[in-house]
Formats: sequence, C-alpha cells, structure tokens
Amino acid sequence: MNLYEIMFILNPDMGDDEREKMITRLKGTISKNKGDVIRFDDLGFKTLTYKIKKKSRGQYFLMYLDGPGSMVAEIERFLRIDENVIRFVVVKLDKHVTRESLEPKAEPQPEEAPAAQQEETGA
Amino acid sequence: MQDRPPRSHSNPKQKPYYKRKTCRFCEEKTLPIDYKAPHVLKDFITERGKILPRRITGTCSFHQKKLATEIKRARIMALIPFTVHD
Repeated sequence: MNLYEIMFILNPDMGDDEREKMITRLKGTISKNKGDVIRFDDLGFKTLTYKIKKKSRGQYFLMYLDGPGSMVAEIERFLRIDENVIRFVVVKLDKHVTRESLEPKAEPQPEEAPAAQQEETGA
Repeated sequence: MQDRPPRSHSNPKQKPYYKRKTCRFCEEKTLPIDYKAPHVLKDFITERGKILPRRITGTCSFHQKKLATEIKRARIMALIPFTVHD
C-alpha cells in the first residue's frame, strides 16, 4: 500500500448536486479498488493563471489516499472520463511520509510539512 | 567563490568580488518545495515563466531537481504560468 496525493480542478459552473454526485462516485471508485481516503480538502475557487477549456476559474480539491498502485490507474481513468474535471495531478508520496501526518487536524495548513517530500507523478 | 576581501581595482583582469550565493532550501529547512506553494516557486522563475538556472539563484543541485518537478506540476495545475505573453 502506498500513499498518494491527488489534486484536481473542477468546472466552476458545475451545480452543487452534480459536484456532490461526482465526488461520491469518485470515492466509490476508490473504495472499490481497495483504497482509503485519508483526507479530503476543498480548496475553494481559484483563478487559473491561464485559460483551460475557455474557463478562467476553477474549484480546487486536494485528497490524500492510501491504496495499491492499481487503484491509481482506475482513478486516473475516472478523472479523464469526467468532463467536469479540468485538470488533475497524482503524486506518490515519499516512503517516510506517515499516514498520521496526513490526517486532518484542527490547524488549517497541516499539509505543508509532508508535502515537501514527494516523488513520481502521474498525469 | 569563497568569501574573500575585495581585491584592488588596479588590475582589471582580476575577478570581481561578489557575495557567494547559497541555496535557500538548505538555509531555510522549513521552506517547502511544493507545487501547492506557488508563492515560493515564483522566486525561481523569470517574469516570462521560465525556470531560473542554478547559476542565477544559487540553489543546490539536489533542490534544483525537486524545484524543477514542482514547478512543472504547478504549471499543470494552472497555479503558475507556462509562459507570459505580451
């Protein structure tokens, strides 16, 4: 089992219901492939530095997962099919990053410390 | 270059004295090299969005490699630009 960090951008014009549905389906894909969501963060709306699919804004999401490598391929496939996903990045976290360090805390920015050590990317 | 006292200006062929550049990530251990921290990466790209070479920024080889991958990730996620046009 490995730890992964996934960041993705969703279409800003997406409805709330639609977004919720998409996220539950994504989480379903993860659990179906023996993965486990450690943390799921909504980073909110951000202005893109360049236009993607004629959009200048996007909704950013960040999630930390624990799971086998085969899960990543399924997640990537899912994100590629969904038209509301503008961009995504999958990062395999370094071996010495512990699961505990990724778990949600009261402070708003606990991801700074482990995120400095990463290796290998998908997408 | 090691820190040496400034040389005399009488011989123009002598190398000018300059301050030794140091790697910011070695100096400041808490400074993240992370695509999610574009404000840090911004110091290591030109105003056109190109990655600055080590000889300009003084970053060590170890950190420059990491920096390059993180800058590329940040570009994919539209956090920093690929290019800046006029």
